[in-house]
Amino acid sequence: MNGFELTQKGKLPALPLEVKCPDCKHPLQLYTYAQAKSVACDRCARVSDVQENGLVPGKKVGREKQEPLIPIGSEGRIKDILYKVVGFVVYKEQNFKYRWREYVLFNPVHGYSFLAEYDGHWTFFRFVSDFSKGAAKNTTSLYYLDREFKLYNKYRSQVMYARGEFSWQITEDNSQFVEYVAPPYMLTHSFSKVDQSWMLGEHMEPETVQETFSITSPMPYKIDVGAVEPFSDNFSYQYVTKVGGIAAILLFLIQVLLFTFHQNKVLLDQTFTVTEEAGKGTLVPVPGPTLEIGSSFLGATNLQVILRAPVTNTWFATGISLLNVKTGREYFVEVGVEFYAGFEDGERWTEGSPGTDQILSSIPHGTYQVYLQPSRETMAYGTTLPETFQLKLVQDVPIWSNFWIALLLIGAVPLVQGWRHYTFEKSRWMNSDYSPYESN
Amino acid sequence: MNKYIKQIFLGYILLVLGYFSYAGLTGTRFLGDDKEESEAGGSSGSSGGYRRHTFYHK
Repeated sequence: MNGFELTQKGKLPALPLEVKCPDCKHPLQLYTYAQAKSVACDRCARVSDVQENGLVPGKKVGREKQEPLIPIGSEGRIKDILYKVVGFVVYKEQNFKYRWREYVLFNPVHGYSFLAEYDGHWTFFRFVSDFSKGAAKNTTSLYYLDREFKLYNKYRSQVMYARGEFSWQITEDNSQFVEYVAPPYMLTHSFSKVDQSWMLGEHMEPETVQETFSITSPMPYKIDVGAVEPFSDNFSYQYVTKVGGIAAILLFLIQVLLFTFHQNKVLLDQTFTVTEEAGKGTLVPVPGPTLEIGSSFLGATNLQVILRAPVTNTWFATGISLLNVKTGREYFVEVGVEFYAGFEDGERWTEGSPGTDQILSSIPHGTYQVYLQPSRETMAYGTTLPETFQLKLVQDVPIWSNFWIALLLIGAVPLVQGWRHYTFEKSRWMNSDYSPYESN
Repeated sequence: MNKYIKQIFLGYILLVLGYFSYAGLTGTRFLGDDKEESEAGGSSGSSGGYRRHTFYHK
């Protein structure tokens, strides 16, 4: 049998049973037929018990009359089961101000399910019969569906308004509820003096609920984070960390490969003597050697420039010009060193260094003429000006800054998602008295 | 955007890894460098002529 697709009449009701409210005589339709235990009138909010001799009037639950967002009688398919909305309840937690709403869903073959909405967050509940912890009420976590469910809330509810039909006495229900969460799932244990049950809830996106029941009215605005709202359906922190981790490993392997194949070829390692231009105070340019700069794999390479000069309380710099003898293209860079030292309050201090290095990137291969343009202070006060300098040029060196920057770029997304996930979870547990984020 | 966020992220990772590999093979530094380039004869700096010094010191 397929529920609403029944063709055999008399076995399960295909049409609602028409009855009248015993109080205001408003016509009521019972979709669940003999399974309803109480019926709430949508006009006068009188809750009547369904008994053999008819409807027996009971309490009124109209203090906070509210139109259900999903009208009674609406149909929608959830997890391939066609449900009809047969009841609507507005609940309040005892001793607290906040309210939530529940819709009772019915399928003649699959029975009852519930759709709960609180602060714009929707959860679909079904009864489960393969889990039970007996009457244990003090457990702080449970294991089900290979997940750890953590204690989230304990409460008793109070009916503020009801409409439709229910399979229990809604005004007499004094059950206590305990909720455990493992987003997107929730396990709810309800127990009273006479019975207990377990329900498994699953988060539903508001858009899905809207589409399922063809809701045309605006959906309730989402406030904060829902108890079982998942952080991200398709971009979870676990996924991002896994992909980022694999990418970091790949990056490291590529760096190891590049490191292995880097030539680190010394093209020049020479000490030069400076000569002052007569009467000008500047230094004479120094012609350097002709160098053959090869390439790594794609026609270009990098060049590490290492300069050392005997500077003490002074500075020294040199411009390095590389002129491609074939193309005429020139590459120029200036590197300098400065080193200062002294005593202050009996303590020695130093600043700078007599050596420095720079990397010139993407130098096309070819033959280059080197020209040097040294410079230094024109006058020395209490120090000696450098007369020589050592210059070293190394071709095809590994660039570690590239590795660290790439690692930072790869790690940025997991870091950001990790932070967002942490603040999201903290926000989720703000509504719980059992938050693992609060200190004792 | 949410539907394609995974693909965008994977594309971003591939871009980083790809450019890192390219930079390693061509000797390119992500942060660039201080070198100046000029064509033949187009600068007073060619053939060893005097250039303005830009090394900042105390």
